[in-house]
Amino acid sequence: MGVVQDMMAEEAKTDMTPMIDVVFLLLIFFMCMKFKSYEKKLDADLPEDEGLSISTPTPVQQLRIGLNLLAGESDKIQILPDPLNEYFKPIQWREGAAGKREMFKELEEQIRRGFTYIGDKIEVAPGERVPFDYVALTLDAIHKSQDRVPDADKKRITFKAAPPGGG
Amino acid sequence: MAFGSKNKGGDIEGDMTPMIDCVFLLLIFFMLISEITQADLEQMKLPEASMAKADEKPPKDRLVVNIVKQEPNDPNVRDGLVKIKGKPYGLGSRELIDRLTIEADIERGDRGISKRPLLIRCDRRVQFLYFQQILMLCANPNLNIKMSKIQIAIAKDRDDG
Repeated sequence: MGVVQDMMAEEAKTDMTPMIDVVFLLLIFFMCMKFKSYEKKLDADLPEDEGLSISTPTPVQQLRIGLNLLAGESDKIQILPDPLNEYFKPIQWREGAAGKREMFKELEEQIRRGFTYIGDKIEVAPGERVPFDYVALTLDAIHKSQDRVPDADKKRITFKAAPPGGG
Repeated sequence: MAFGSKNKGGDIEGDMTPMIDCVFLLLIFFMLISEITQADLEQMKLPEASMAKADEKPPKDRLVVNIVKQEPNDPNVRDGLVKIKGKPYGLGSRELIDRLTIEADIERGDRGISKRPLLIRCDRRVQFLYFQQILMLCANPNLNIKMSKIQIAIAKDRDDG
C-alpha cells in the first residue's frame, strides 16, 4: 500500500518554460532575418580605351534615343528618337502604369522594325533630371527588341551625356 | 536490489540552460552575419526590367555604389545621395574620386584598366544625372579610376518566384 501511495504522489511533470523560450527565440530569429532575394542586373561594359565619346553621331545610321521631361514636370517624359532618323517616330507621354508600358512597348516595336537600318550602336540620351526608372526601361526595350531579331548582330549601347540642367 | 530502488526513485531531468545559451549565441551570430553581408546594399526602390539576368553568383571583388533617393525640403537641392559601404559622398567630390580610385586600384589589368566589376544600384526615382556622373568618373581618361565592367542593379520581378 505504501508503494502505491508513493507512485500516485509522483506525477510526471514536464517543465514547458524552456520550450517556450526556444519557440520565442526562433520566432524572433525568423522575424529579424532578411531572407536573401537575389537582385538582377543589366550588363553595360564601357569601352576600355576610348574614354568619353567625342565622336559626332552619323545621322540615320545611328539611333539616338532621347528621353526628355515634359515642361514643368518631374516624372513625365517623351521619347524622342533622332529627328534625322526616318524610321523612328517620337513617342508621347501616356498616363498610368499601363500607359507607361505601352510607351516602352512602342519603343521596342520601333527598334525591332528599324533594326536593320541602325548602325552598330544605339545611343541613349536621357536628360539630367529624367528619373532613372525610364533609363532602365529604355535599356530593357532595346534588349527585348534585339532578342526578337536573333540573327542580327547585337548593337552596342552607349550613353550620351546630357547638357547640364537639361530635362 | 539497491540499484533498482535508486533508479525508481530518481527523476531524469535535462538542464535546458546550455541549449538556450547556444540558441542565443546562434541568434546573435546570424543577426550579425546578416548585417555584415547587407552592409553594401542600401534600401531603395530599384527599377524593373524583364530582360535582366539573375545575379546568382556575384563576384566577390565587386564594388557596389548605391545612389539613394532623398527627400530634400528645398526643391533646389539635388534629390540623390551616393553611398559606398554606408558612407555618403558628394557627387563629383574629391572624396568620391579618391574612394573610387582606391577601390579600382585593388585589381588592375592591362593599360591600367581596373578589373573590378562595379555594380551601380540606383533608386528608380533618382535623376539620371547621378548615374551619368558615376559613369563619367569611371570613363574619364584624366582620372585613374578606369572601371569598365559596369553592372546596373535591377529589382527582382514580383512574379519571378
